[in-house]
Amino acid sequence: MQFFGGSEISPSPPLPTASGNNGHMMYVFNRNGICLLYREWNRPLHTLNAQQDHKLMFGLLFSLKSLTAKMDPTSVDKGNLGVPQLPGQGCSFHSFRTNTYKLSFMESPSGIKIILVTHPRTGDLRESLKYIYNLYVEYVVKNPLYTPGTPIRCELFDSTLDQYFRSHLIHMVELAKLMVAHHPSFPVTILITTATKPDNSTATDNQSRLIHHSCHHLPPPPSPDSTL
Amino acid sequence: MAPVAPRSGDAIFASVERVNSELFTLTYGAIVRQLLTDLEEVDEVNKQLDQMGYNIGVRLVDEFLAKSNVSRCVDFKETTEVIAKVGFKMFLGVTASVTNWDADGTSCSLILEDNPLVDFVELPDTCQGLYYCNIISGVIRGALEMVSMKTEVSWIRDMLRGDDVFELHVKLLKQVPEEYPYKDDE
Amino acid sequence: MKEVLAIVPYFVRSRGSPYSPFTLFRSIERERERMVREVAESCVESLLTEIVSQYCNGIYANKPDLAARRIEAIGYQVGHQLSERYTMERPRFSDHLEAIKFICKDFWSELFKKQIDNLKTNHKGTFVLQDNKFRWLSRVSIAPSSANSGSIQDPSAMAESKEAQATGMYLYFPCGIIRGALSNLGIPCAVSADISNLPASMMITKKQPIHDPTGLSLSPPSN
Repeated sequence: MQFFGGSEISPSPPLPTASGNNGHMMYVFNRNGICLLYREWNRPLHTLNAQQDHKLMFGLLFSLKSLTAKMDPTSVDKGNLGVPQLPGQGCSFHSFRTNTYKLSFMESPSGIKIILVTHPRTGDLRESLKYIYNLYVEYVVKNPLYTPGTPIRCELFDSTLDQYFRSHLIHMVELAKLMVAHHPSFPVTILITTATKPDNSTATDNQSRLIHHSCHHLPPPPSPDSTL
Repeated sequence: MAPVAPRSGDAIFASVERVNSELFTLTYGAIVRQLLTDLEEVDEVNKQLDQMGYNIGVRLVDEFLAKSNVSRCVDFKETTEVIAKVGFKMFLGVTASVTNWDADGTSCSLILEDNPLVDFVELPDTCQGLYYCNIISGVIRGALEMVSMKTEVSWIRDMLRGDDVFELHVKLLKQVPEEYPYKDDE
Repeated sequence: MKEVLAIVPYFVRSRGSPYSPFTLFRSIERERERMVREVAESCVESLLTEIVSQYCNGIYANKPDLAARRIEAIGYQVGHQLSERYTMERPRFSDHLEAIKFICKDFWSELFKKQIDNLKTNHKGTFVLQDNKFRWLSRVSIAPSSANSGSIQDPSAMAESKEAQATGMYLYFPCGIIRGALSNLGIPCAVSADISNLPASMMITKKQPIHDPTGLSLSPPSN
């Protein structure tokens, strides 16, 4: 994907997921708590309406930032809990994990917060979050029709984001092909769960053909969680 | 995974899309000229340029942060250094320097010796009082406000008025931390 | 347009300009010293976004025609001066077609790093310049169309046309640039734009007599 003209952002970092698109939700907030973007791919349980859900998420992160700063054992200056923090103060947390999901968080100094909720075994998503921030800058901030501080309604941004979330499969397959080419005796298994079958996206054909053709089928893995 | 180190201004400038600065200089000149015709008062034009700069700064700051990998600047001193060395470089292709710190570190001067906005520009006498580069002061003010610093930016020296450099005085008024934005707890 | 140029003197001295012939040699020397100076493209795009926003929402809010004229006028000045600089070392163009080709190839490349993709003419003075991926509009993106919103077609159509109108405003600037460039080459004309096929943009140039340099309508090409 090249739109940075040779910067080190391209090629896009592959989402280090175990299998398929296991993203559940994504939020983008600005510094004033306005939810600029909310996407969900796989969220069976909805307990609150959208607005309450966004407020809850924002509030959760706001409190977490305060708490983590307060509990920081290396910090000399202990602010009082609840006192708003200045930029640069406090440590910055980047993820938490429960038994059912992992929440990855990135906050820019300008207050743009990007949150990804994924499968609990997801790896470190900091590079991916930074990449999404770059996508935000390229396709939202630089869109002359977008007013900062309003919900994002940009088709280019949506489609690029979709492409990014789906494209990691191609990276995985390409990596597998490369490994098999150089080390034919190396066993490689790519697990593709049904959740990854792009159901209603537009750019599906190429991807599904690629997946099915280039898989090197080997004996089934010992455990369902094995990856490359 | 450790956070990536911030990139230098030169590296970023080499990696962004660039255009011939003539287009930029001429466009800005035409804009100022048109504003003078439409608004007539020099003070109004100064205000308009500052407002435009502010709006641009609010957008530009995200691009700056995304491309430069700058992590949070802990204090005002570090912030102004980063603006001078990285910010100016990655957009205008020139670096500025920071001097004249006051005792408590809340105000300083940004010195710009080379400014693409004013290439081949000479102000006629009818424009006394015009701050031709006022858009820059607006950009800095807007960008800093987005990182929670409310500042006051003003011109001390202006090459178009006969001085030898451009000097911007940047004063930190207050740091505005993020407040919990929701008033009611539903 | 002429009275604007008379009241406010040029800020940026052009080489060989009728307004400041005596700066010719000094400018050439300085030009050699600073050969290819560059700035980030973001700067130009930000300026354009902001000036359109200021004129459409501020100075001439609710008067889109007036705003359009001002944006086009700014473009005109830029195009005029740029074409002067870029044609310094060239002999005069032999005919109008050569001048238009210069705009499509060299001039467009200097500004947008690519040439015009398609040039059509009706041989009666109208030229259509097509750029398949116009750089300054490459990030313009409207809301994804909500086909299943259940609402009637009209609001979404209105929203689309509002966005189309806003997008169109940005094209007044490059239209002005083309008009300024051509007028510097001795071809007075009117330039309008068609954005029905974004990201491709078409600029339609019609040769005009000198006393009628208007033509700021956005309309589909008449072919």
